[in-house]
Amino acid sequence: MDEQTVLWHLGPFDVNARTLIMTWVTMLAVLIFCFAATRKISQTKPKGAQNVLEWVFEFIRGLINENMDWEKGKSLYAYLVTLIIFVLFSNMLGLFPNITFHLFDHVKTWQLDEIFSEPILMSPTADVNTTAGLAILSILLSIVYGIRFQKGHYFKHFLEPYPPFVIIHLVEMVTKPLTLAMRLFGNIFAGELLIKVILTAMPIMALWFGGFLLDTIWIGFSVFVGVIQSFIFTVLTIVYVSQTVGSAEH
Amino acid sequence: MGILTINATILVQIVSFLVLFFILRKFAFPPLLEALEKRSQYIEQNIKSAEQQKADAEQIKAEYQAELKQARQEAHEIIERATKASEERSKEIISEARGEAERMKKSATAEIELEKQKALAELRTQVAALSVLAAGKIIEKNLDPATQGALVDEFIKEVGDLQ
Repeated sequence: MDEQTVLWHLGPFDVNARTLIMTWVTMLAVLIFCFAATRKISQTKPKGAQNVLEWVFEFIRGLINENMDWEKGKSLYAYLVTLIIFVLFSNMLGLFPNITFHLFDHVKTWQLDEIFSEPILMSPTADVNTTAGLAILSILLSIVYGIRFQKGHYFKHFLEPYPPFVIIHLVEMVTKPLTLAMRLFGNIFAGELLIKVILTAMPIMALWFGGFLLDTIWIGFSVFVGVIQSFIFTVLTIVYVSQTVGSAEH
Repeated sequence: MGILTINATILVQIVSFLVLFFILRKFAFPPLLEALEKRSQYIEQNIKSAEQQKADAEQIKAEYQAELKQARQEAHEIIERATKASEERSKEIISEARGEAERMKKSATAEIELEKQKALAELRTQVAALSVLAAGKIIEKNLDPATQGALVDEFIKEVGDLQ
């Protein structure tokens, strides 16, 4: 299994080309979905995509309400909806087969041939850069909200219950985003890896005669994992913010 | 190159996500949120008006029930009054009838008594007249025993005829 990263060199910076392309595809999908859902708004009779998006909104509203004061958390509303939809769509993208049909096999421009060389597409969340980025945003949000609603108390809590605990608090500051990022990345990356293993390591004849069942089952499970992980990521973001705004008690 | 390499991609991802977020927040979400808000207001309004209507309906029902009760009571009173009046009237009629009957009986008795007196008086006059007549006849004829007997018989017969 040669999991190779395709790099684009932008001046002094290296970026993972496959991750970027897949992120843009995901963003496009999210945009299409969200605009389709809000194109013809019906106030009294929601249907189709509008209904789904409304459900997501209500779901996030419920989660915020469960964890903190709605007045404090409502400015996170749109962010969290975007987050859960984006992560969910990202998780799903890696389950699609490579639908480019070898179109880019000989396109050397921007290394497109290498980017689309895998048997399946790739989840942006199967790159630790994506999950780490989102996790950093989450922890930044919790800090910003802590300062906004707790003012000086926010910094004081680092010294509680005793000043030496500042070390533990600082470690927590690192472990929170770290676990957040690694959990999502690990789950999605492992899921995709196994799909690739099933598709490439099995003899082609075995795939034709029933071997695809294994792949089908695993993809089904991966859908489940993807949904759960997007949910967990969003919930943990809410929880971290609610801890710092200090209204875990209703 | 490990799978855990962090490079500039992380910055691009953060920016990409934030761009996505701002686009959605600016263009896609507002109409939906507005619709949700309006709907919740609409539902709230509906519930409120339904509650109002229910309260109104209950009030009207109470009013109607009170009215019905009053009407029933009135009807009852009217019936009672009518029954009492009719009873009184019937008693009156009966006592009147009884009085009338008494009076009629009394007058009938008096009349009978009167007739009886009248008849007795008449009888008395007749008997006197016949006695006088009989005496005359006795004096008129020199009576032999046979004639005397005949006279007595005639007299008795006449008296019998009278009675």
